[in-house]
Amino acid sequence: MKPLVVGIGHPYRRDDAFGLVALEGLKSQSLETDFLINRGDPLLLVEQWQGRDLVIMLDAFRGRHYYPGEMLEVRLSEDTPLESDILFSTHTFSLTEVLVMAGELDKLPREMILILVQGRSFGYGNGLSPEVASAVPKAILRVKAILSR
Amino acid sequence: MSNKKKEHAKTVILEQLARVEGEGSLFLKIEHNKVSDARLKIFEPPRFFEALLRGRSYMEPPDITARICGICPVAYQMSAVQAIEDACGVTVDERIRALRRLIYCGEWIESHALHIFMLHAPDFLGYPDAIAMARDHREVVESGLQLKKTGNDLIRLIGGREIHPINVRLGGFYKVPEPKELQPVYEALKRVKETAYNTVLWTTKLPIPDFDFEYEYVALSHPLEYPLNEGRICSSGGLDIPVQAYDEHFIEEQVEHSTALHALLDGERVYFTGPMARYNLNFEQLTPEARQAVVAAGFSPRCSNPFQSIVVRAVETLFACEEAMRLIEGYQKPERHFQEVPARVGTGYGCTEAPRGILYHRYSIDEQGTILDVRIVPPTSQNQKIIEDDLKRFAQQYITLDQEELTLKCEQAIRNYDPCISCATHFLKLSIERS
Repeated sequence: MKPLVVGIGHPYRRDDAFGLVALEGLKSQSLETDFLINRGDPLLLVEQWQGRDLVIMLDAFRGRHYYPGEMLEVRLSEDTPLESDILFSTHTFSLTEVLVMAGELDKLPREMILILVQGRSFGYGNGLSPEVASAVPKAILRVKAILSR
Repeated sequence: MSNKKKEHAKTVILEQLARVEGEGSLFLKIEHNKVSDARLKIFEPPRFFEALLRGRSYMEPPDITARICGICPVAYQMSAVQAIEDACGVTVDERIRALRRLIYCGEWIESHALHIFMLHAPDFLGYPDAIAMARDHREVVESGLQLKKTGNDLIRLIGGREIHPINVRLGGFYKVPEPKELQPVYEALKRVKETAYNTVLWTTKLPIPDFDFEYEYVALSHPLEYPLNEGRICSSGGLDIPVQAYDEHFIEEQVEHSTALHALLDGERVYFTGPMARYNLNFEQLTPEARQAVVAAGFSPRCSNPFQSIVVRAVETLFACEEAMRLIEGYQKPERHFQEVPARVGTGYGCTEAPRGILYHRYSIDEQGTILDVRIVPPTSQNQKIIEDDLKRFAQQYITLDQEELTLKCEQAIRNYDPCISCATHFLKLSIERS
């Protein structure tokens, strides 16, 4: 199966759209890969992950010790600590909860890489902050480098 | 969960009741081994959707009201278009009506699958959540995921996307699918129909607490079909009214402990809306295989134990799969993807069956189509009082249980209603005070 690149986010919540914008940038390049947009229900991803060798997830995050636009690359392994105790929504599950559930169901791909960018603003409206916008080309280059290994 | 001792009273506080939507709390007072008070406190701020709609165009409610809920946006869209088309004196043609029923089947499948497998089943099997349940009951969770995905696929195909669909408009749709576009989802429905059938059998084997009561059920009723998009509002107590008469019979009142209004039938009767109400009032209208599954499972066509609502949701999921397949088999692309709905002065009424029960909309518009007045009554708002009454009776029946177990049981009783407090205006904190 082809690798899968997933862009996660909400187009009208400022920097939350990072994953969607980066995915659009990748789509315009000739890459032998599947693309998928997820606008906020990661539960829908489980079946898409199963059986893949490689899945790359692009998403914005908010952490306490990072600067806006800072990019993190997390390679999921059995040792990655995943906690599912944060209540995300009761209508669906958070990405972390879905990753834990997919692990329990043996539906994780062989390799899962998360490309995450720290957002500045997750308020209403569209358009990325300058810091996050400047991280988009870096994320695209990084995804291309991973895919061309 | 934390235990806290008060003078003359013992209180258990559950910081968050998981697996219901929204923000609220439940307070139970037990005096001398008797439950003296039960209050479902909803403290999530009102969302003012009705005020937001006033002064806007009559074309906007299908998109704006869909934002009230991420799990049942189609219900909001369907009640809105029905009410505004009623105000404008427009009846859509049969093909548009069928397509609306088809997208609604998708919503029932995904919403019921989420609740049955991910939210409610862990209660019966003794797990804190679906993730913990997945370790021991992998096939159960996989069944839920398959069904949910199929429901979502159906909504995305007709609605443009699975959450907050964007393709519904007054008079029809912005775009309608070609028959061949429906084939992949038809094949998926064929596959998951068996899963849905087996789910009916599986849910009847779950350990269901004894808790029967003679409720007054309120649901839509239609002479030719299991109610989804339309029908008269009927009750097991003899009510049989057109949707236009809703305001005369369903009286909402403010209560001090909730930001959501409480509704009473004829100003005094507590009533029950949702899957169990639909099932009890419309069993004969279910599809043959859904009825056959009920017989095969040894389940009754009448159900008065809200803990069995998980079985009823499974029956309705099977129904929705079968109904969606039937609609796809008979699908003919509408000649026009929408018909014009010219504005005129008037008031229109809409009521459809959201997964959690009847969802009422009323709009008054002027000759330009500007919205002058709106009323929206979601099902969870209507079920608040019955949830409180259930809790009183249920806690009394299990009063000898220790605090922790009683708390868990009460949470489970609340989840019988799959409440969406965000719709009603909302996370539940449970307090039990004993003296």
